Amino acid sequence: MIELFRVTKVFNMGRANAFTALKAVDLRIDLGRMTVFKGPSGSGKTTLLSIIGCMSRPTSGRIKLNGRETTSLPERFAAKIRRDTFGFIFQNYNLIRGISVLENTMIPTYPIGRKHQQVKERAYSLLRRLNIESKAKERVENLSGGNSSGWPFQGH
Amino acid sequence: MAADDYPHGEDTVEIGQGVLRTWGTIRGRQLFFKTFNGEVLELRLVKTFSSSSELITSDLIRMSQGTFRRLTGIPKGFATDLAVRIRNPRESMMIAKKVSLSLPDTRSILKEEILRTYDALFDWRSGYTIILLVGAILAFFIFAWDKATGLSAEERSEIGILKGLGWDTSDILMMKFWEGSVISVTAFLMGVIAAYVHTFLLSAPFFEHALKGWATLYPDFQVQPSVDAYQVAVLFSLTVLPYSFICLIPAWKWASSDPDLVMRQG
Repeated sequence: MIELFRVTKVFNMGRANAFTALKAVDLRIDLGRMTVFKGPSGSGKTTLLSIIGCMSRPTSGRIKLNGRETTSLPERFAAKIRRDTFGFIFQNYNLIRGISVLENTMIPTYPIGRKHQQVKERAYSLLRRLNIESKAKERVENLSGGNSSGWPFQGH
Repeated sequence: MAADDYPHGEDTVEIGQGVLRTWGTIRGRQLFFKTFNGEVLELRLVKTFSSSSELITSDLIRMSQGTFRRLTGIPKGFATDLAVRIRNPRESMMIAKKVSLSLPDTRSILKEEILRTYDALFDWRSGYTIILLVGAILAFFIFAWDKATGLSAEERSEIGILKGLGWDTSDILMMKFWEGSVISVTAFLMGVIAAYVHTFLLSAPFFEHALKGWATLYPDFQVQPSVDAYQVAVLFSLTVLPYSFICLIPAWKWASSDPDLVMRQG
């Protein structure tokens, strides 16, 4: 369960170009449900998702994940939550260029220190499930848009 | 003129490799010289200087004092040069002045002046190395400065993606450190190997003329392989280590930001 209490996010705070993306947002998202944010461009959907997913910190307010406060967790713990709990599919895919499809799939597990062979097998099984195993050795910049969007970022 | 300790006796000669090459064919180790009055003087070749000393012995001919006098016609009691040893070196200047006053047609040269001349003759060649070194250091600093002052948009985006995938700051710094280390160690090894090949296997074609000089008798230039581990270690610590750490500065700045911010700016 995800809970937000009066979450506000101000970009460039204290400067002339300060911009309030979120203003005192209260939200509760229950487990096992699909929730959709919709709104016009610039209304703060991405900012809200970033804050929920520990990708950025709110300027004020509190966030709870399964009853546990995540608002001001040290960076190491926030990274662990990002790694273990959330999965993002970005509009522009956010693949790392210059390395292969297989390596891109394995990247999230590197900080965990799992055995390379084990991670590789798991990555292959994910690629197999999405029918893109044949592209495993290809560099991501050579992929078509369709292949890039069906990306299996590994979870913990 | 040779010292009195020339060991091979009269009518013999020692020559350098350059003289040997210029002379061409030698039959039965006999060399024929033309004396001051046009006669032929036959001298026996007893030794050629080794090629490893060719840089200084290539055009050298050595013979006994008596043979030299017969060749040049300089009678006994006369000399082209006289070496004077002075017990107290601080008096050398005064004695040189006195020699010049009493023998006005002679020219006194102090040992210090000879050394100075040799310094002037040979030391400027190190200027080549210094200019190249300054150029290389400047290039290194420009490269390092460029690396230290910022990351490309692609690198920033890469850091943002990695953070979004659950890497924390220390993971990214560790990756950037290894990345910088691999690049700098590879570049260092390639540079050292290229320098070794250029100098010792190809006889330094870029510096050859500067190092061996512009003589009439060109010596064969074969540099003996010698690597100073201390110099290599100093070079390593002045290039590889700073570069590896310099790579961390911009990476640290971006890696410690929120991944959302990094990705928006990237």
